[in-house]
Amino acid sequence: MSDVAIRVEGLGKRYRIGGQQQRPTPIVQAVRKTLVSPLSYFVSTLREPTTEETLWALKDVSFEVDHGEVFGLIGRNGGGKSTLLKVLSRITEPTEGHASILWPSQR
Amino acid sequence: MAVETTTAVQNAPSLVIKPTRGWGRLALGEVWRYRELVWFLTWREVNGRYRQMALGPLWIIIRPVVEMILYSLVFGRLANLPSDGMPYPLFTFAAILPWTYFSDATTRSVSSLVRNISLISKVYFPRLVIPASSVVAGLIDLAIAFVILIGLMVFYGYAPGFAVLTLPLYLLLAACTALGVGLWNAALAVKFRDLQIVTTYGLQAWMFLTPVAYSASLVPEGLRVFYQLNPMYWVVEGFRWGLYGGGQGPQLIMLAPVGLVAFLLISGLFVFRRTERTVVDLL
Repeated sequence: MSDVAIRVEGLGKRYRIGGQQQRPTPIVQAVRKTLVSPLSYFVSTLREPTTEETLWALKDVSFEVDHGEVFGLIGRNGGGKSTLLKVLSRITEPTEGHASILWPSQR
Repeated sequence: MAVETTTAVQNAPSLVIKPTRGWGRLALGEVWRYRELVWFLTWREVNGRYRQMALGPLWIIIRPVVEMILYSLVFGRLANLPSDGMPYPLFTFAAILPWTYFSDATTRSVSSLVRNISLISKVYFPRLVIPASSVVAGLIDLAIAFVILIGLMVFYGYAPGFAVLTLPLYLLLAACTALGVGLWNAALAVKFRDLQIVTTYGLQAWMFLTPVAYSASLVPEGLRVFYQLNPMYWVVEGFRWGLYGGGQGPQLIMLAPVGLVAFLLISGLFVFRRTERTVVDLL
């Protein structure tokens, strides 16, 4: 009999990139940019991110882990392993789907 | 985060993790369950602040005393501002105490999320605990600086009446104001760190709008209605009233700023709850 501990269904997590990380620019350019559009960062955070600015770290992830089961999570760098764990440990919220943590059933 | 906790029935989910729609719930009960963490973070904040300092916690006393001396010299002696017939040092110190508490609590809670980023990104707990403990931590500083106030009262020969029992209520008003401002700004300060600088200037302006270094009697009669909308006006004047019967006691018009603070606090809670869900992603 299976005794599910973690059930993940269609979990997805979207990150927004680009808006935060700016390439290091020479100081002159940086000053000019500040003078020309001082609120550019502010404005960029307000509008909806375009498709190039978003990154789906997780998309449609589904699996089940039983109580006492040894479960391996393998993936490339930036593959979403940490993101998955961050969502499961409630550090950050998923964008779609859901996950359930279940107590062991009484036998 | 939408979390449903149920009792351990046959394989019933104890925790469901899914995206929250809309504004979500406040879940203050959860904060209560984590109250031990509030005490621990408060202790850490108080303890950590004066580490690596030659004078250490002595600064809690030095800061308001130096402020009192400066105000007494500049505003009391040089500008010769009226102090409602009270010795100027006592007059201003009775206001410096609650003001310092308020200003510290606000500054600390605004920067609290940014300062505790390493903690937030590693473990789950209701984030509200962090700004809340910033506001509580200031109370310990206040309690210590209160000793100086008692000394001043004895020195100038003033004894408080029963009105002194209202001081905790005024303190509560100051704490709620600080938390309200803090909640609105803490989550936003992660995205826009500028807010920490804005807070410094905002508090400076706010102090001049509050009768800390001067008497409220200097404010023109016509402007008083707006002047008294400031909740900190009532805190500062209430402290004077409670301590030596001066200042301005509670009045019915006080309900307006109290309502304002209640609105600030409740809306702040919702804004904070909304931003805390994904605040980690911004780091």
